[in-house]
Amino acid sequence: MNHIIQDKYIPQQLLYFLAGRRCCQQFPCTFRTSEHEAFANNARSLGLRSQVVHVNGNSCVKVYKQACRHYLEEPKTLVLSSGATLNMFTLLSRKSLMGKEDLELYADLVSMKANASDLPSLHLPLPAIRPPNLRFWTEAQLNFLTAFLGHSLSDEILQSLYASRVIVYNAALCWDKSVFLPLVILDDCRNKKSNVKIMCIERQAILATYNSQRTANFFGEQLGETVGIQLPYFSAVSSSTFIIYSTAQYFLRSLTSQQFRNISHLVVNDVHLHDPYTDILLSEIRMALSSHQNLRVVLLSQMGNPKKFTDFFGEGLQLNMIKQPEVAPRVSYLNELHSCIALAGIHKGPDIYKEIPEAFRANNPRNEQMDKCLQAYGELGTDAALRPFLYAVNYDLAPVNYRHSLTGKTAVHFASELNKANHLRLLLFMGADPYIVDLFQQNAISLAAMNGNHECIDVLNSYSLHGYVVKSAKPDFVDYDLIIDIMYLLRTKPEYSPGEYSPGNILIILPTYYHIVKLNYMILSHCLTGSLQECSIFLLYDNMRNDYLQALVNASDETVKVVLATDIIESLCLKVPFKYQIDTACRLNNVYDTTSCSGDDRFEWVAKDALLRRELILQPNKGDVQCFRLISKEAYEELSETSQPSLQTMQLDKICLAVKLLSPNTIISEYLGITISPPPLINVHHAVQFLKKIDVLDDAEDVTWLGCRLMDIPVSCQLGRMLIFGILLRCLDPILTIVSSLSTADPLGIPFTEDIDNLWDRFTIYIQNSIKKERTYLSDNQFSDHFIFVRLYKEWQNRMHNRTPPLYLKDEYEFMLNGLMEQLTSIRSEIVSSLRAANLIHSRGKLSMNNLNQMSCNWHMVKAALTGGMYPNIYAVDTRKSSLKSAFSGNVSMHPNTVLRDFLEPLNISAQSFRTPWIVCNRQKSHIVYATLVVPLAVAMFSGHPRIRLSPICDSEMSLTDRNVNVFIDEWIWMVMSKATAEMVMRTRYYFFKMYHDLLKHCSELDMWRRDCEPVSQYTVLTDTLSKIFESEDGFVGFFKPPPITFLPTPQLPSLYLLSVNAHFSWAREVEENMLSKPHHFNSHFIERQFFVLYAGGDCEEFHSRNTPAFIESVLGKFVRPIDTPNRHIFVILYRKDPDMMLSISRAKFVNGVFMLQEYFRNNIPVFEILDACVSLNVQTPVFDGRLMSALIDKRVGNLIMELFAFRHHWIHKR
Amino acid sequence: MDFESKYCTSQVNGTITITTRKVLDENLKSLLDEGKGELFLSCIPRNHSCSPRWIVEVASELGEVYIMRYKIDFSGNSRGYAYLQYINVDLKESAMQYLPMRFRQLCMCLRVEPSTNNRELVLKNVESSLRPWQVYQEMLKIHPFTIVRVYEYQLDQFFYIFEYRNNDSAASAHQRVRNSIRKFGEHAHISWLTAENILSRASGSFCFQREVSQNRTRRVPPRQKGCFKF
Repeated sequence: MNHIIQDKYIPQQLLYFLAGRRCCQQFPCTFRTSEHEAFANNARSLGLRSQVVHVNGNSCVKVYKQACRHYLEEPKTLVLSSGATLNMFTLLSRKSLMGKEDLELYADLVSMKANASDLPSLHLPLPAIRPPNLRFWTEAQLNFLTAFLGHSLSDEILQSLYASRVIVYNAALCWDKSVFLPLVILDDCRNKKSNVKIMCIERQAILATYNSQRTANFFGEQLGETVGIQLPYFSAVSSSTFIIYSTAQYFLRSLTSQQFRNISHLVVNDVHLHDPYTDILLSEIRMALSSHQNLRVVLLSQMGNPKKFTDFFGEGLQLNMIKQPEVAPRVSYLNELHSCIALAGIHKGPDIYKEIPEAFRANNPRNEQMDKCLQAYGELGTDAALRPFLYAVNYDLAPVNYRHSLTGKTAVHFASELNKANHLRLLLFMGADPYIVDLFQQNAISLAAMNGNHECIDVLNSYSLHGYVVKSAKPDFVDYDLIIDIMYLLRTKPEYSPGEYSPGNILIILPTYYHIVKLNYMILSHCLTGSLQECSIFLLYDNMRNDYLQALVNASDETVKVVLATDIIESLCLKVPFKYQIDTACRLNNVYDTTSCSGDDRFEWVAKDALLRRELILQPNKGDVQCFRLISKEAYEELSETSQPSLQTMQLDKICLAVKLLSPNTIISEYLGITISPPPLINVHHAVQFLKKIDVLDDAEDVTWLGCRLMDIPVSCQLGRMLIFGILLRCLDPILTIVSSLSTADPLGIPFTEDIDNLWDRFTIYIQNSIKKERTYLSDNQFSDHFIFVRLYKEWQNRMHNRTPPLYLKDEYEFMLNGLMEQLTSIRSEIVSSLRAANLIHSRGKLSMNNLNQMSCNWHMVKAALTGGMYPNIYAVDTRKSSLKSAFSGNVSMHPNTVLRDFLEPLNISAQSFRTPWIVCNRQKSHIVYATLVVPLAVAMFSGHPRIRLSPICDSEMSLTDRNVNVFIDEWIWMVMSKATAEMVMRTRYYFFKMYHDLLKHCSELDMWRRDCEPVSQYTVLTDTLSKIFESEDGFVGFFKPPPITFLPTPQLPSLYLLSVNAHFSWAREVEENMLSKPHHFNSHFIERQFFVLYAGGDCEEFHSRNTPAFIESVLGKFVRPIDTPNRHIFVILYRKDPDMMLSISRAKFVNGVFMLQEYFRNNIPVFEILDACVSLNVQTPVFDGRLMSALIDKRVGNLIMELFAFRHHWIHKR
Repeated sequence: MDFESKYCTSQVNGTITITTRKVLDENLKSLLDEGKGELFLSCIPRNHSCSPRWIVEVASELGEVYIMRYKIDFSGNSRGYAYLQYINVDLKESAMQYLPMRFRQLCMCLRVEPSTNNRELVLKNVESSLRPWQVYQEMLKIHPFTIVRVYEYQLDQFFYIFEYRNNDSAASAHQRVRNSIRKFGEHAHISWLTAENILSRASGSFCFQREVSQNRTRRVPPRQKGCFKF
């Protein structure tokens, strides 16, 4: 038998493995130890590597191919510093800890599984169902009802509701279904005196708030009377409530305890969008229909053919109200737009910055390197010579149009000169521009013609025939310049808005909040300089505060509104008529990639049906409307009809958890398989495996205590676990900052050349270098990108001095920073309130906010928490092979974003300065975007499953003499350390995970966490010691001492920055203030502008505190009576001497007869820059002399200074 | 009459309120709203055995209940306490004797005490550039209060005591002020004024203060003779 196994079976298994696609395999532990050697020998003969590993106390063999990057070839050593050893020893020798026996037994005895009865449930108070006893509608209410588009059909709707339990009501957004239908149903039930309780399910909280508010207004009541609302942080219902609005996610949470009791009608809005939670709700409803005979379900959708929903339920009626509109809006695509703009000859933006010499080139190593790449290619012209250049473009964010510092040639020049048609094709495909001229006034086409390279000429000809601008041809980049161009077209060229004179409202649909903020600044700067007429800007985005929406709803009809929105506009029924729509036609999608096991953020074109829905927002029946789509006609034709439901593409961790709570006894994949949009099995499998690995689900796929606590925290499971570690190690504040930064856009992300607007994209390399430099400065030699988040947040907070950000503008970066920080703080506070709701933060005792932040100033503790929370995203550097290894598959490289490496720096060079081989990181595809180096001890202590026992320790055969042992933390983390160390580390580890478990299990028992409670106060000792241990470890490994990160106890930060800025600079305000509404003088050419310079002595703050507006008025009055009329604007520029610079520019205004200054921009602009600019633009140079308190300056100089302020670039002009 | 027609239940965030449906005299209502005769029930078990409805049913054996505010947490469990008021404020004394006894009969050991009805908040460390009348204006915008008392404890250093209509409104004011505390400077701080504090209204020190009537539309900023000047 032995022989058969050793001679036949094992070689056969290995051959199967060799032929298969897997790069490594673990053979089960059913083989006897004696057979391990046979494995090893056979593997060696086949050219495979093998290794004996220990999993849960059993040894087994792992075999891997040469190319496999999953496993460490040799263990990483762990040596403790003496300080750490001492501290750990003292900790373990404390009598008050548990005895040795306890320790051994603990892991086995305690079940990590939560009982079904212990699961935290959400309370959704639904009073008993009753017939409504409402008054009859008043006349106003009746009028309101008849105003609905669907009013004439209400009988038909009710008929079908009696005929069938499920109806699908399909109508456009403007029918306002989710307000109209509940009212119709309520009206009917009042007449029939039947029991009624209508539950309206919306996709997002903001939609529920908005719709419930409007319905409550209909009744003339507050929320919580006839109309109620149920959201995680806001609920109001009473026994007289008949209509309740909620979100799908929240309603699902309450279903576990509540079922569908006390509900008569369920109205689910926006089913066509296939929001994941809505999809799950639909299958819950389908199951409930069998037990609740009287439940009526109304699905609201806007799609071509809603048959799939009736098919899904196997019953039901459709009411299809979607008709092809008689008048379609004029739709223009990218190609037409470009030619249109070229024809219109728009003169936009500042002349001044267009002339800036490209003096920022050269003299930095990155330019030198790129020059070398190009030069080598120019000399050799081979494929191999082009490769470094391509590498730099693909992996190092270098612009494909990079111009050689001396000759000004781009790669395309070289390719066409050398007649490399395939290179040329590739470069053009990558977005290179063949029309760039070098210093000899040659472009790629002329070069090819000169050298008679016919093949290249053909390629270039076909390019110019089908010429497309690549920047906008990909969904990844939003062409802000083009949007601004269109705005110019609409607002300054009256011939493009024919017919009426009054300009219409503009709706701009962008993919994310980041884009909204960026475009907001661009529009503001163009408006404030007076090149675009004034307008009011409003923002609509997911998870916004209600104030943003209310600002738009309450805005007067007089104002010209520019609304920047994400795709939430598709579900918001606004009463604002839009005349123009600029649609970027792209969206951000989180796509789970099974090969790299990570969820990537991907920009994609939206589907055709979404574009159609957006088109209908314009309401083409109401006059001439126009729609601009920033997508080429060809690309549009290729779009799919409907988009894929997000359940099928997204990362499913939260979904799996939600499903498990809904039906604890079903296998997750089985449950998801019967939803309306079943996700691919492999995605579900990966998600479940991942959840098991991070201990959210146990081996039997049941929810653990960790899972119970993470349920209601609005971040992914991985980030939620990080928060738990932050709580355990008492450094919650920095962890909160990191978690919320990871959920927003990064203000210091290194931009692609396409992200930079065309004024500055010549300086891409310079800007990228400056941002990188800023990142390096912030990271302060800590080898951590996460540290940058913490530093950036603190610095921003300190700069604000805890006050609201000022309303003047500085530059785009400042604006974006404030905007993104606004989002970050709102996410932060949302997480904090959810942690409080989950009882993980108490108001007093051991788990109070103050106690949980005791270690917040210690960066080494934060790193430890990061290690625990990021597991299994841990990588080990293999210096010998210069590669990164991890449990996930192969080729992972570091993104130029991380501070761990420089631009164009290979791993083996950057790894030389690494203090430890362990990296915890966040990935995007196969790039490590944010990384932190951590000490080996942190990996040994916090990674791996919470329940590993002493068994992973095993003696390695050859090192028996020095008593070193191998430790396997999980299937690939392999360390070698001395036996004593191993035992101590494992002991401390147990102890830590006992605390972990206690916290998760008992955190809702408030009494246990009181300040004086004995068993819990031991944990204080543990964290204190851990802090000391990691501090000495950090020093031992060679990390520099981090700069202190101060913890501010109550960061009550200003919110609604963007709202207040936009309101501050809104045209509507000015009209009201001046009581002069003259919408006829729209053209900016009628406006006369006067500029005064004032000598300010010190800085702006000082000037404004010393001088009252009345004084400034009197100074200005010496020259000319500064009368501000709608056609005459007066600006005041402040300047100072030594160093000579301009400080700010403000508009002088009379508000209700009182003179005041409205500061537009504040920055420091050296006077020499202005003088240079005057020379280059042939403007008479003014004299700025401190002797004069004030002076009236030339209008052209004034405009020039204004533009210098408005279009300043943070990174280029940073001194 | 059944419970539903007698009382109205509603829930706003973490408070379940059971109110009588009876229409009351304006004066009595305003008296009750100011917290007259309020009782504080504590030691309510956290599980669902002691529902707000049950408590009201027991309590109304004595007389008609005006309002009960029952505090719950996110999972709908009791936070251990509730406030109770009878329409007849004189029932307070007898309720304090009767209710604990009645609860014990029903195997529930709830404690019944007079409510302190703490409704004063103290605002400290306001930035010195903000004058008292500015603080007054700002605070009015945040939440209407009945009385403000301003104390100057050093030159140009003030602290403010705001009194609200009742505990409930003080609680919501506390939350709102906390959310916009930075309007009052970097170190500004708002907290409850405990009843033991010497300055609290309960302890009866009325020096240097001027009451501001709530009904007056155009309000004068509080002015204290000799304390500070505008």
